Amino acid sequence: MEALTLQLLFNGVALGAAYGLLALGFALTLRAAGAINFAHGDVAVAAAYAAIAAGSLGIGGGWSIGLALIAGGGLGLAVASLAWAPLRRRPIETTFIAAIAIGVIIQNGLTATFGGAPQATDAFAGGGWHIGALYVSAAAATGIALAAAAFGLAAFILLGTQIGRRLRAAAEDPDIALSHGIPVLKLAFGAFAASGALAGLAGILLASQHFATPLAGADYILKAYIAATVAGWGRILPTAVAALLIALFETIGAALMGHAIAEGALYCAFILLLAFRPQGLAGESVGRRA
Amino acid sequence: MTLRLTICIQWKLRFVGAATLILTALALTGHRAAAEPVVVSVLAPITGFLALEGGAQRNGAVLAAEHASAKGPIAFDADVQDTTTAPDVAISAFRRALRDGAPPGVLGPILGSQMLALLPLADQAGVPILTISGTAALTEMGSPNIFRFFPGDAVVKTAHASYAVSEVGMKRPAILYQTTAYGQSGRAQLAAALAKLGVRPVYEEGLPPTAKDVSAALAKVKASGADGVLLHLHAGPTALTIRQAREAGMTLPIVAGSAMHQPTTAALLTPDMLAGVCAESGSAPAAETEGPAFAFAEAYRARFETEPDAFALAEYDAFTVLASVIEAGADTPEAARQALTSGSFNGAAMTYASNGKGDMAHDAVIVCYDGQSHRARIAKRYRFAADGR
Repeated sequence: MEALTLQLLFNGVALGAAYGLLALGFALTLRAAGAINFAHGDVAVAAAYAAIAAGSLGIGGGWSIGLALIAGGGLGLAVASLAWAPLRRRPIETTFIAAIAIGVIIQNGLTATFGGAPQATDAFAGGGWHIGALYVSAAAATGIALAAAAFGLAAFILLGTQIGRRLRAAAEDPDIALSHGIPVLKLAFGAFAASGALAGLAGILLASQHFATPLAGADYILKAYIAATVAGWGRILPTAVAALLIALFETIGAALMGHAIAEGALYCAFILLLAFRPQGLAGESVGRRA
Repeated sequence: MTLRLTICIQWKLRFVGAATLILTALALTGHRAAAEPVVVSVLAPITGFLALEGGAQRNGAVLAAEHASAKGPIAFDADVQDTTTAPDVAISAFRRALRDGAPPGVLGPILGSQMLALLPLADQAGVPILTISGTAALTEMGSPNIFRFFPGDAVVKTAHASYAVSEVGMKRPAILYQTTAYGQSGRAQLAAALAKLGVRPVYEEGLPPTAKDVSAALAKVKASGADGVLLHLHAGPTALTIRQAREAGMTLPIVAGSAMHQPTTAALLTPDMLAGVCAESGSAPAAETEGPAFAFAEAYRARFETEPDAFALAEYDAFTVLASVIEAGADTPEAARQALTSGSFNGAAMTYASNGKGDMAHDAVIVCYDGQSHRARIAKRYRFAADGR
C-alpha cells in the first residue's frame, strides 16, 4: 500500500507539473492583460502537435521541447494579435468569444491536418527506472524538473525584477501604469508569448505521457480555469500550486473513491469553494471574473 | 437592399437559363440521365471527437463508390457531409440528402446519438438509413428503415467474453470500461456474456475519458486477484491503460475492445507493451492475409496511404450493398428497403442479412499482438446466427 501511495504521489506530482505550467500561463495573461484566454488549452495542444510533426521529420527527442516552447510562444502572440489587442476596448465578452473561436479553429485545423486519432510524441526522454515498487518514467521525471525550473524562473521574474514590478503595476491599473511610462501593451504581448510558451511546454509534457488528441485542449483549459479560481483570480504563483493540488486530488482521489467519483468530487469541491470562498484560497488580485 | 435583390434575381434567372440551355444541349447530343452518377449521401462525423471513425467512414464510402463505378454499369458518387458530433448538424445534413427527393438510401453517421435523432426523420420520409453505429437501441425501436452493417455489442461482446474465458482461460477477470454511453452499453453486454459462461468479474470500474492516470484502478485490479483484464475503452484511454499497466509491471493478459484492433491505437504503444494483448472487432482488415478483406485492405492502403480499420470496411460494405441493390433495379426507397430486408449480401468483411430488426452483421473476430511488432493477427473468428445464437 505504501508503494501504491508513493506511486500515486509521484504520478500526481508529474501530472500536477504539467497542469501547473498550464495554469501559470493562464494566470499570467489574466494578470498582465486582464484577458481570459479560452484558447490556452488549444495552444498547448497545437504546440504539442508542432513537436509531433517535427518529430516525424526527424527533429525529435530533446528538440521537441524547444519546438513546443517556440510554437506555443508564437501561438500566444497570434492569440494576442487576433483575439485580444483589436478587441481589448470592447466588452470583455468579445475577447472571450474571439479566443473560443481561435480555439475551435485550432481544433478543426489539427483534426483536418493530423486526423482525429491520438498521437504519441517522439519521446524526449524514453524509458524509466524501477525503484523498488515505484516506477519513475524518464518523461515524467524530466517534466517535473522542467516545471520546477519554469516555476522558479517565473517567481524570480515576477517578484525580483523590474519587469515583474511593471507587470504587477500594469495589472493593478493599466492607465496609471501607462501614465508612468510603463509600456503596458508591450508587457501584455510579452505575457501572451510567455503564457503560450508555458502552454507549449505543458502540451508536450502531457502529450508525452498521455498522448495528444486535437480536442484535448477543452479539458486542459477547464483545469487551468479551476486552478485560477481556486487560487484566487489573478494570483499567478498560487494558481500553479492549485493546479498541483488538483492533479493530486485526481490521482489520490481515484485511489480512494474511484476515477468517476473522484472527478465528480473535484467539481463538487469547486462548487463549494465558489459558494463559501468565491475570492479563492489566496484572495483575488483581479476583480473581474468570467 | 432592393437593388441587391434585383441583381440576385437577375443572376438566378441567368443561371436557370444557362442550366436549361446546357440540359437541352445534353439531351440533343444523346446524353441520358442514366449516365450521370448516382449520388449517395454519406453522413459522417469528419470533425469532432469521432473524427478518426468518421474519417474511416468517409474513406470506406469513397473507395466503395470508386470500385462500384469502375465495375459498372452504373456510376456512383459518395456525397460526404460532415455531421460533426451534434445531432442538429446531422439532421441538417440528412435534410440536404433529401433535397432532390427521397433517395433509395442514405448512409448515416457512426455516432449513435446522431442516428437516434435521424431515425424518426428517416421513418417520416420512408428512406432506408444504413449505419455502422453499434448503439444497441437503434435496432430495438421497431423502425423498418434501419440497417446496421457493424455487429452490435450483443455480437462483439459475446465474442469478447467467450475468447477471454475459453481461449485465454480467464476465470476471474476485471473489467475497466468507459463511463460514456458507449462504455456502459458495452460493459452491460460484456457482464451478461460472462454470466452466460458462468464467470463473474472480480473487479469493475468506470473510467472517465479524461482520466490521465489510471494507476489507482490498475492497483485495484491487481489487489482483486484478477487473472486477466477486459477493457472496453475508447482508443486513447485503451492505449494509456495498457501502457501504464505494463510500466507498472502488470503482465496479466488483456482482451480489449474494438479500439485496440485499430492500427492507429497499436501505433501508440511499443511492441513489447502489446505482448499478451488481444482485441475484439467486427472485422480486422489490416490483419487479414488473404480473401476479400485483404483485397480491400490493399486497395485502401494504395488509395489513402494509411491502414484500414473495421469501420472503414463496414462502411465500404454498406455502400457496396446499397449500390448493388440500386443496380438490381431498386431505385426507390420502398424497393431498396424490401431488398435490404429480404436479401443476403456477400461483403468483403462478412455475409450480411437482416435479423428482422435491421441488424445485418453477425460476425466478429479476435485479433492478438505477439509483442514483436505492431501488426495484429487474427486469433479467432466468430460467426453467429442472425438470431444471435
